[in-house]
Amino acid sequence: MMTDQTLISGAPRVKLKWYQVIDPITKLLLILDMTLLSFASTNLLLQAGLILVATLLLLFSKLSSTTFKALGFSLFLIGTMLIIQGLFYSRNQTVLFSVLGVSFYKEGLIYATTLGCRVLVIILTSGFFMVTTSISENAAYLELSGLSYKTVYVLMSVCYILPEMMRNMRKIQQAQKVRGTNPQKTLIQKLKSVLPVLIPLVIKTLDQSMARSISLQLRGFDNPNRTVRTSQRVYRLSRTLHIGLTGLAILLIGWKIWSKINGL
Amino acid sequence: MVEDKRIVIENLTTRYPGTEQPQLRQINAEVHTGQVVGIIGNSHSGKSTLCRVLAGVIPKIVSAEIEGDWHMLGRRVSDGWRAYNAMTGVVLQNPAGQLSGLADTVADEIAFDLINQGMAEGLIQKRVVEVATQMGLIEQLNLRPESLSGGQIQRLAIATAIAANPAVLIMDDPTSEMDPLGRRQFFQWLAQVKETNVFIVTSEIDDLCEVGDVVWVLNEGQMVAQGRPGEVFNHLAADWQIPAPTIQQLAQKMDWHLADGRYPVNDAELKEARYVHN
Repeated sequence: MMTDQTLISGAPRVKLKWYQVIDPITKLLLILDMTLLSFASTNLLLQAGLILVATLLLLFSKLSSTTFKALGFSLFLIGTMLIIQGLFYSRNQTVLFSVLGVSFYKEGLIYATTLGCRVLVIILTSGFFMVTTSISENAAYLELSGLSYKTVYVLMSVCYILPEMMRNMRKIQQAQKVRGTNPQKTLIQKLKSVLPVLIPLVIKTLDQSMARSISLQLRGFDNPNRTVRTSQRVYRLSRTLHIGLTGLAILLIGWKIWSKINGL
Repeated sequence: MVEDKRIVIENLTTRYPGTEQPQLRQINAEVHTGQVVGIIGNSHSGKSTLCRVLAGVIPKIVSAEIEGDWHMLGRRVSDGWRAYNAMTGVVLQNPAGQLSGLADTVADEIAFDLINQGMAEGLIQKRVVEVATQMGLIEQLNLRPESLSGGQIQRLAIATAIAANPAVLIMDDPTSEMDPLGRRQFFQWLAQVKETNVFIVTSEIDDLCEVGDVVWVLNEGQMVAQGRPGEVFNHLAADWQIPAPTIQQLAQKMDWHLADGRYPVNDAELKEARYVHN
């Protein structure tokens, strides 16, 4: 029996955006393919192309503050990596430039840039997936694909743990700030403030997971009579995209194995 | 065969693993169809544990040593969890923990229980609107559950508990995060509930006296008093540290009592006492 959640909500039907007609599995396969492509070559032009594609996907979908934060943190890490590898990479030979008498080497910088590009490709494509797919959409799609609701719930719960921990952490840190015990002005202070609350944070999150598990059992989520929700979402070209992207992933993995065997 | 419409608890003792003292000791009680039972007591008196036992959470989901017996409307947890669970609606102490976390909207969250029961689509839509109207959430149906206030989340938790029309409703402090208006609306709604056995843990003594048929007082795991609100609150022991209802305190100051000598505890009894006094 079809359960139209939009009808239940009484929400008006709105025109779907382009990313809403792409199903979650296609988006996950896209992350896989982009990552594999990035790891398949060290060509910086290809890496730049992949970053451009991933950035365009994000720009033409939705931008969230979380994506910016993740991106900012990644760029900070990449910057650090560039400095360290530019100075100390074991295969450094060719000096590219010097600053205040400190030499940066071409080999190290290229190596760090390649790694950084790969990180960016993963962050940007994952960001695209996260901002365009809700947990409930994933759950509904996986259940429709034939997975039992129990399995779907376990999978989704795993996705839940990190955001839930971050929410709890924010609450604890806000409480600390209000009481003046957590100034958090410098990076060291921020790190110091995290360490003492890690264990209570994990326990609290597990406790919340336990409460949710009790609640779900009380609400009959494993009832064999459960109606499989048929989403009103119409996904386009799902089958073709699944076959195409899976084929590409197999090809890329095959290429990687073949090149390893032949020492390319 | 005569249908058993009682809820019976016999010599119930419960102890969580790793604890020395039992959380519930030798509880005995009997409730009849349609009664609203208010459970009151101080912290660690066993109120939430009793709710967990009645809901079947203990021993089905959370393990604990249990002595004695209880059955609701002729069923025990051991007779079959699914049937027992379908009979009850539960509101947990932490309402946010009650949400599935997989619903995009309030409507989806309420529909979750109905979908689990395999209800037909048309009925689900109708029931969601009915329940949301009862809980004053009709304007929030399209909002994300996480965007609601604490009081609204509690109302949503109650909505999810009553969606499937349970025969027994068990609520553990369901108004703790509600504002005064929300609390008043909740108790007005509760006063209209018929043919459902309601167990409610609350510290809202005044409201409880208006809607409760029976009050159970727990103290250190023991049921130290049970009976109609007027009987229980007129015989409170000082060491239970439970405040008397405002109306009773007022009547004591005015020395307005009922014909049987008790002080009134609710509006109706206050009017009666005033009539007797005049």
